[in-house]
Amino acid sequence: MSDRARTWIAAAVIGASLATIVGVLATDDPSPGDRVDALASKLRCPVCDAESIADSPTDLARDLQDLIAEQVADGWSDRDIIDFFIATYGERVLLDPPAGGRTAFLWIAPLVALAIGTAIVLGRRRRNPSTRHLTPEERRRVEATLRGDDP
Amino acid sequence: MIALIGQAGVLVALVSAVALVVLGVRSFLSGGEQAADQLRFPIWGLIGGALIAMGALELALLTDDFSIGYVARNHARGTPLLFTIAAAWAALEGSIVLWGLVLAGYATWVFRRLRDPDPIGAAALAVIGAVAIFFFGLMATAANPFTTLAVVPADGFGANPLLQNHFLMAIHPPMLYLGYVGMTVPFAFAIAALAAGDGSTAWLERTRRWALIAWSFLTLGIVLGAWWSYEVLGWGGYWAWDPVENASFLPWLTATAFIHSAVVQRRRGMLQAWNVALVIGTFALTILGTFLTRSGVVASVHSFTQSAVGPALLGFLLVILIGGFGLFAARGHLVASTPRLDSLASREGVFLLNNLLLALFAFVVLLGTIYPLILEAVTGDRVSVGPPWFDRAAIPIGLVLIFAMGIGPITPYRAARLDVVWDRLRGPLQFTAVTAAVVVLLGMRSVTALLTVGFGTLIISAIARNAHVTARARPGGYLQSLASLFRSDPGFWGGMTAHTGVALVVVAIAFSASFDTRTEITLSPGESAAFDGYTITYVQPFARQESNRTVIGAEFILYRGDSRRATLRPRLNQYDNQVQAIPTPAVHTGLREDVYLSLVRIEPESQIVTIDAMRFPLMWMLWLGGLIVVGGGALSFGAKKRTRETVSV
Repeated sequence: MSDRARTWIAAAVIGASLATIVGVLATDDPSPGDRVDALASKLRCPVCDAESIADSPTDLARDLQDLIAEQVADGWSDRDIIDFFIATYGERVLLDPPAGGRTAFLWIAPLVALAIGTAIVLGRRRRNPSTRHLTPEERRRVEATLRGDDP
Repeated sequence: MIALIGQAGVLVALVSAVALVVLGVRSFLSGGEQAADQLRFPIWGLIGGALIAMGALELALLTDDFSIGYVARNHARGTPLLFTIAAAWAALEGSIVLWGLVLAGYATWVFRRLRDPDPIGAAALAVIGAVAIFFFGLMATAANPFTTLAVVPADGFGANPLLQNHFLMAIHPPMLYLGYVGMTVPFAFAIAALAAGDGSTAWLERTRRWALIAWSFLTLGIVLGAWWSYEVLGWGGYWAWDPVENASFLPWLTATAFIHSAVVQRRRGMLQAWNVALVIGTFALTILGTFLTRSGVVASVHSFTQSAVGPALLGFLLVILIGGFGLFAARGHLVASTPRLDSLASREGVFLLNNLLLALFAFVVLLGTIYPLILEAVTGDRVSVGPPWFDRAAIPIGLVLIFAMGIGPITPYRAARLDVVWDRLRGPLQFTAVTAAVVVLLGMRSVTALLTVGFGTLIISAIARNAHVTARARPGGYLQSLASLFRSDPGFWGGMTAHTGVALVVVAIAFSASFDTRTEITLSPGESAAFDGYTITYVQPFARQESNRTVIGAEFILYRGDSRRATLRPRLNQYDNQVQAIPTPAVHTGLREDVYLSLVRIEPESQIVTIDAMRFPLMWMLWLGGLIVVGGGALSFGAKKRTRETVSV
């Protein structure tokens, strides 16, 4: 099989797979259960150190998970439910700190670090690359030498 | 009596550590002639004293010597043998003794590898001696494990129940410490190279083994810790971005970056100064981790000053940061390398990407771990930084990292041509795309999980293709060539083994996060309930009294269709020294998935039982992958010797 044919086959296989993936994902809807799980894992169980309501085995966490399920069933939005928990237990109930106020730094600092790191890596690049690809003539001579012919 | 012997051991080790620093520095300054002869006695004193201290502590625990405060607090007569031995590292003072012993062990090993003359080795031993002064000094003062009680209690309190509930707690901490403390050796050699202004790669070559050994142990410690969490905590989790977990993960990230950038330095003479910085940073993070886990600072910023250990560790951390990076700033130019990168599209370029991402990863985890502490210390406000925040930062970084793992090993050095890379990637990419499509059809919907599975597949298939092509190009039979790949380049193929393990781990994480299910089930004796294609039948409750705890549990039979799969006995363990019972979940591990039953409660009258039934796919792959990563580290560690033997034959 020629190299060109292999490339075409590869493109076809990869393309068909990607089309399948995109097609399935585009027609998918999250269920109410997913919403309850997502919310419960963002809220800290109030009697635990760091475990979420979804993960904690305590009775309170179980009750709160049922409460979230009721609120979702009653049509509360995610925002309403989170505000309700902040009002009841204080801001420390949020395992995911808000992107503003006292915790804004937690959101900005990683981006700044990424920018600095990228700048440093780009700065390591040689200004004038010393390596270049061989010209066809040079390539022919190298191959001839490797074969053992006289150039 | 035992307390006195233990104290004496600590003092002998402390004095020997001081002597090691003095004689090591003197030997370094005089050119390192016959360093081994000059440093013999301090090393014997250090290892001997540390062994006596550890031996005395274990003897006190095994003989129930409650006149020693540490034994009275962390041991009870009813504690089983395994956890009696493990009680030596169940609390702060004992864990420092273990630290000291491991450090003395590594010092002895470095000593046995001294050359003649060896100024760098002598200086490195002096640095290790300085670290030993700190830890044995702690044992002699603020964290003395041998302080005695005026009134000897009849029985001890016993260790924290979480620490005596599973055998993994007996081996996880020593493995972690072998990793943590092992990072001292590359650190010591890096400092020695800085002090000597030695710009060669000698320190890197010499510490390669210790770095790999420490890294392998650290990896093993983390895997065992995750496994313990899964087997004990009762909710099926293995990683929660808890500060204690982060403390072990942080030095792992920087040590992993170091292992990779060390390859670049050896192969291409680049990144020398960066390697020194990484090694200093890794060592500093092990001390930071000890500070976080052992000072009580995580529970509350204000609790860590209750004992002098917290401030002492914090002070030592500052000394390392200021001393280490100060020395680096003053003398770093002496070890810095000049070659620059030819092209970002090259193996070196991918290594740089790997280092950038691992450093960024470590920065983010560090930020999320200490930000709440700093905020509380400065303003008094308490905030939570939990798994959602860490996941949001870790997932994109992790995804790019595993993508780089897929393409890095097949990218040529210096400058990669696109057609070469495409030729090597064409097959693996097709396999990856088809796998991802199949997984979507199986029901995986999260884009993150799909990308993870895809990149994991890419890593493994690219390695497989590489092995296949390399073996085919070698003379001799194909299978024989495949088998001898390791011997041809153990460093590289050990690394590829570790990559394969990481790929298995991330694929298992993606599956268990996407397809886990949990249900609460309540049953009367004799009743059955359906659970995700299984039937769970409740047989009967049981209870028994053990020497250190009361166990209540319930027996279930697990069926899939008509075939009986397992008898599961989830339990709740009530320890005498704690109100909250500790669960022991029952896990049935299958090829497809784990069925995980965690006991919530049994009504005493009616015997009605409530359990959490959970299903986690492909969990075996997570643990196997973790162990393969460790094995990869160990294989590449064995590299050098094997090659030399082959040459000499």
